[in-house]
Amino acid sequence: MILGIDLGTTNSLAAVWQGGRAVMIPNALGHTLTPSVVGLDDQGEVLVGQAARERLLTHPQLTASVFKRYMGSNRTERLGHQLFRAEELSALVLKSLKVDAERFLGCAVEEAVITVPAYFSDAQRKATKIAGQLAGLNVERLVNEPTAAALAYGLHQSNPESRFLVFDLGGGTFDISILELFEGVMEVRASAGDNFLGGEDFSELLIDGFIESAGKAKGLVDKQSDPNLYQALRKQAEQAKRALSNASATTMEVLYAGELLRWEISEAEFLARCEPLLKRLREPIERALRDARLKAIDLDQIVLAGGATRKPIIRKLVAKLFGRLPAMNINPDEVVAQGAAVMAGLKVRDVTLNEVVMTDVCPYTLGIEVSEQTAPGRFQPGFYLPIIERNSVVPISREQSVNTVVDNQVALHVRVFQGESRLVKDNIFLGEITLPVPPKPAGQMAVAVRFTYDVNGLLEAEMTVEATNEKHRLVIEENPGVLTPEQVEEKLQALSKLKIHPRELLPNVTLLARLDRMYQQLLGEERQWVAQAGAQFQALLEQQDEGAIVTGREELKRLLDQVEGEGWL
Amino acid sequence: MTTENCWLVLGIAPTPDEREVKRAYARLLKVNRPEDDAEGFQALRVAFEAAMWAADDLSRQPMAVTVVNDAPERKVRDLALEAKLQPCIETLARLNEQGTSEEAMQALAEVLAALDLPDAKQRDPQLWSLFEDGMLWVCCDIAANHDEFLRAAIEMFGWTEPGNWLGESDARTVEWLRLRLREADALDIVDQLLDQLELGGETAAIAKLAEMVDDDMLVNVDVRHLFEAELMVGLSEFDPVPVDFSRQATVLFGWQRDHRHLEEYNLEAWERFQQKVA
Repeated sequence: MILGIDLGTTNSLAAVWQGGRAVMIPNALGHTLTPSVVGLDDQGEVLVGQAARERLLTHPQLTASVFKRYMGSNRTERLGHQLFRAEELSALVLKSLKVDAERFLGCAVEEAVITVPAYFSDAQRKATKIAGQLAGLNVERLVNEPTAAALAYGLHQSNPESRFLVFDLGGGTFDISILELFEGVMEVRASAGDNFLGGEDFSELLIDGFIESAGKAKGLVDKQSDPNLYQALRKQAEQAKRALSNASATTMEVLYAGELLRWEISEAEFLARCEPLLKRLREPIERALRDARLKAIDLDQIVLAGGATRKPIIRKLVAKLFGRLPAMNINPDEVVAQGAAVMAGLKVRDVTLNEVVMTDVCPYTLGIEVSEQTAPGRFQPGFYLPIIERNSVVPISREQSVNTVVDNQVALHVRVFQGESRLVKDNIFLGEITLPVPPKPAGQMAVAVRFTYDVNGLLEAEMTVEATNEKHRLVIEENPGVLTPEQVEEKLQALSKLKIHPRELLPNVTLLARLDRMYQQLLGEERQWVAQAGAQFQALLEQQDEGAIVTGREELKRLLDQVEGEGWL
Repeated sequence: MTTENCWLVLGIAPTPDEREVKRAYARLLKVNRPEDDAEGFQALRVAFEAAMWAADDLSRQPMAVTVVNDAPERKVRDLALEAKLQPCIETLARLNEQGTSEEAMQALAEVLAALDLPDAKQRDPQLWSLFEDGMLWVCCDIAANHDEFLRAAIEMFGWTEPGNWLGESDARTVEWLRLRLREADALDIVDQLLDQLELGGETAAIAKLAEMVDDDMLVNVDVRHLFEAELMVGLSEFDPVPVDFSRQATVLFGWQRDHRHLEEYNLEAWERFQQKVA
């Protein structure tokens, strides 16, 4: 059984293809969304999901979130006295999903299809594969998130021939894909995106607004100065975002230096503050449409994916951009995971998917650095020569010939880049190789550079010295920000030493963490009430009567929801 | 890949019908799946893309055309009435394509008067509804119809209003007409800007443009696209070109970053524009 996984910035989900449909996997709390938050508890055991999310506020030094943004980089996060890379933290989330799936399915799960933002680079894709490996999952396939969403939608299309656009705004990334459906073929026509634009950015806006309007006067200038305070602000911003979805104003409150700081924000002000972010949504849309050679009016449907598309401001904007209302027949939080499950079904050739074939594209241009002649005999390096143009259908293999630029040149330095800029300095460096060439007069020694890009979005480059027919391969594995196989082995060892908090205790632990967090946030009578409720629940746990614990837990959850509104899932 | 080869790979005879090409490709794709057979798939893909281009070329070649009347059978046909209306509609179509906006509007007024049409709505619903069909055809199928004419027609028949028969039978056409109305409004603004520049009011035009960039009117991607393209074409015809305004437009709309839509819209104008601004 292959598990389909949506490894998100804010939440992660898993689903499987079973009996001709995508079935969502519940976690230990019975939810389909598992917050992508990892922490250590007071005994140093790993907590993943909602419990860790609650502890973001009470134990920020022991908890990590939004790490998907650092995938493919060397940045580390400190939890207690240990350092973790984004791959490792992601591996812990994946591991937790894997265990949930095994419990749900009653069999071992060792293979997975994982979704990534369409605009994820080579290094970010490799880091995601490694995260799977570290979690004990063989990653059968990486699928672009909007493509997955489209797969889930495409299967539900009544119209066998249609074109649609997937607008996928997740917690941390924004992707656009345009698809065409015909004769059982789901063809991605174009993808574009922004890797640093998502729901979390709207929260940051509110935090900045709070600091500016309510914090500054009281000496609160730097939101990051105190991790506890920052997490409290994030939680308030999250709640404000939700409140503004159906109220015209809301209030953010945070306790700072013994004083309660309050900021009232109206819907209109929130909208005005969002303006710069909303503008950034336009560029990928225009680019994808132009790459697909389509006008918005040619599209049959606009499909929403990603939790941030629940926000009314986003839906209103989408309606205005395309001049029509978007479709929402599938839960936007779950649609990507469902698509991953469809992909898993395709992968094992499930009979219910016999007639479906999907083709995807490479969303960015791949090329090498070349020198350009600026005057006779004078060459300037730093220019970009595209080899695979963006939005080419994959797998694809393309070749370009380059020549030496000086007499008796003995070596050729090939540097590989990804991006759209004419100058390589503005593109992303992927890897390099130096090959010896037989000395010849300038321009007379040619090398053919062949790029091969596979269905998983991974690149291989092969250089052939034309005179000698000598071949050199550049496997872009050791690019900056990606672990080497030896390092992966080390990390596997290190992770296996970590103790994971027992799954069956998670419902109780989550509730206790929530009580702690609420105690810290609330004041006065409410705070007293939370303290009492916590003590009672603690006493109940000590009686070890499983039936009574379950009843007490559900009752307490209901009461807490009344105090602070539905949980934030 | 040569054109003959692509048909060979797809296993079909050359055809201008893109659907047939897609069908052949889809059938073979289930054999050469991209994830299992990278090389087979790439060969198939190259053939498919070549065949799609070739089909497009073939469809442009003149050939015997069979006219299919696919209009919904909304009304009982009346040949005598049609014969009376046909020349009128044809005149309106021709003036939309070749005449000025004033000529088209004048002709519309004449047709209405000659057939006593606005009153005929009650008196002779069949005539009115045939006239409506003809007007819809001019508005939707004549590519170069005039904005003023389109506005008048939409107003006359209420096509974009909620509850209109057109919305119920063909929502896509209504969506399309709404877009045309928005585009017409945006093009009015382009005309205003160009007039202002003509009169030497460059500073005021720059201020107006900066305002327009964030205006609700230009949020729709298709409307914005056309606005940019028509503005660029208008600017390219100035001599000398208002440089500050042109640079401002370039920055505000990000033309340095992506100008494919402008090239595609009118390559000559885009080249002329660039020369003049540089």
